Amino acid sequence: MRSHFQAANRPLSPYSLISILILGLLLACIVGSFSGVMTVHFGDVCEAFKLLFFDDIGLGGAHVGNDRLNNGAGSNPTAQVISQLRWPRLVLAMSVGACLAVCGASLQGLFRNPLADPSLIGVSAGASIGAGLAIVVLETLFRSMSFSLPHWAVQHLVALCAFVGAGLVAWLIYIIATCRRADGLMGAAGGTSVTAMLLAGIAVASLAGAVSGVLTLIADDNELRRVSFWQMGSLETSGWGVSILAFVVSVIVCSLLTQQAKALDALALGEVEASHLGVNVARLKRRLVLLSAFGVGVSVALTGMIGFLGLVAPHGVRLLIGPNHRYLLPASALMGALLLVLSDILSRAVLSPLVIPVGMVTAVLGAPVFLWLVSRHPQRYGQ
Amino acid sequence: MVVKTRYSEKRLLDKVSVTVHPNEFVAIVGPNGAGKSTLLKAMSGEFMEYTVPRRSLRRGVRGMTSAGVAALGDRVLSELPAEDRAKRIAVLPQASTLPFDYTVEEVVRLGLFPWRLSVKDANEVVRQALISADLLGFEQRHYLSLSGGERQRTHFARVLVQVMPPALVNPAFSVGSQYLLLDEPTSALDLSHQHALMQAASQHARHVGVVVVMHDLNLALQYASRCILVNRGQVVEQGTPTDIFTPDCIADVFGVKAHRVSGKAGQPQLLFEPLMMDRNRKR
Repeated sequence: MRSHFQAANRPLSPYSLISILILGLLLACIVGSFSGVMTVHFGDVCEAFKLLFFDDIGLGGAHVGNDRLNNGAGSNPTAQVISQLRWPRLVLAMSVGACLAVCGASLQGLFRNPLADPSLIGVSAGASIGAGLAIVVLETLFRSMSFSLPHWAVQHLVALCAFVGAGLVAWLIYIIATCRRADGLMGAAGGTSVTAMLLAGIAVASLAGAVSGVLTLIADDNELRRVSFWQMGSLETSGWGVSILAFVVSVIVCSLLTQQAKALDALALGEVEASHLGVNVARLKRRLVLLSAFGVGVSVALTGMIGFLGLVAPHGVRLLIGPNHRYLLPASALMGALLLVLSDILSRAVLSPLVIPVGMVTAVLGAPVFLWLVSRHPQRYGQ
Repeated sequence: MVVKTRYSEKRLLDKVSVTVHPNEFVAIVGPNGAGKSTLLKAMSGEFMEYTVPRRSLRRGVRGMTSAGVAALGDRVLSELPAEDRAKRIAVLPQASTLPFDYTVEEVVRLGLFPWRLSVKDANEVVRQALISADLLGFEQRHYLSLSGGERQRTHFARVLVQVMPPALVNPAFSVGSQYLLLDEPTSALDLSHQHALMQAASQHARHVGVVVVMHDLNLALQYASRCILVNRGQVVEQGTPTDIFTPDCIADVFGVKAHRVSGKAGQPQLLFEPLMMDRNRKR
């Protein structure tokens, strides 16, 4: 009987994976600052540092347009590009990547299903409905009242509505997809129905399509461009204001979700089993739904629909170090950040000087992974 | 532990009142669908937390309302904080699924969720539970690669871990009377592991109340100190297995003809006669 013994086929220990990911992220940031249309020398980066932290335009420069770049009183334009365009973009990519990956991992824990990605089950679509409605309603409201809010306030309102939309969809899908036995009790083998989950995702996604269709009808040319970029998921909105908001939200979401790691492990056994282990299941579910809706909602409001990241990052981490949430959540955050930074570098490099929306890149890379997952375990995901 | 239940509409269990003491090994036996698992779930306090969603009641779809109390000592179970309850009652359900590929050791360690132990104590508790479930050498195996019986033993080790700390680590962890509720823990086990599990459970029955739902009457005869016979939602008989398992009673409840023989050391054993195919089950 003991001859069955085999070592766990986990190629890496959690700590080595986390160190590798941190190193990779640093490297990717260096590559990200140097790559682009402009050739950058080491001196430019040093000057960008100086500009960012010691000059008055530093982090406060939420709005960077060409005017500001040209006005930079005789200073190095390359350094300006680095400190005001590339770095905030890197911070935005890292924050949104980490946020989406950690929310994906937590939703997979909540749904007890490795296929629960925010973009597949409609949570991202719900966020985009919320944000889209907010844009339509706000714009018409302000136009009719001939009164304009500052840009940042509008952005926060849109983020708030996206959060509400994401939360409603996550809750709805959880209720629809969680199987209840005929007698109204949660089955011992609880879990969620994959079919119900994905079908609900399709329904919500087509609803989101309708809302954004209406949006494109009433939008003017400039808005249209913004909306279409947003649907494809892009980091073009970056600037220190947006990036810092994303960074703060992602730190909050990641640290609060990581605190639920032990309870998520217990929840993997099923809701009833988790409650027998002393988990307050109702409270845990409420926290998971709220936090991941907050993370996904804000991410979608700022960068649009970036798909598959919440699926690919946690799955890669699980293959390498196993499903233990104590390590899975932080490692997924790092992996998500790294993947999105790399996708962004790729999106700027492939058709340079054109920039492909980064959502396209993650979809092109993520969809085959998803198909591979489904074909590898058809019986596991088929029911 | 005292349980009183009554379910309306579907009447899974009707006016049942059961008391279990720590240091008892209680077997619940009865035909399929008699309400054994329901009784066990009532003991674990499951029904108080998972009552019917209101919408299914309104639609009148097989709604089930529950009325009943499970009490630990002088406290009603549903009023205990979740963690305190988990330290005192560990439940092994009939079947558990895991969506992710945890190792055996990680699954067993989940039993420590309600406890705050030092690393050394935690390792010791987990090791003892692995020994009790004959899982030494399986620590690094992946749960999803295990056979049904091995999975069952893994979950058995997990619930053992949940009630072990007071007795094993430090009496200061004592939380009052503890209970181990096992729903058909031997259903997938081979003969030797069936007995090994029963022995491990009865060892723990020295300081923990053990309640086991089982089908093998001979196992119950051998290990249980008391037996509760359930049929059609009611407790038919309670007492020592030797007193209860008379040929008349077995014929009455299970519709099977049984003979009692004396086994080794005068211990009674049951032999069952094969059923005729056309014979209707006696109700």
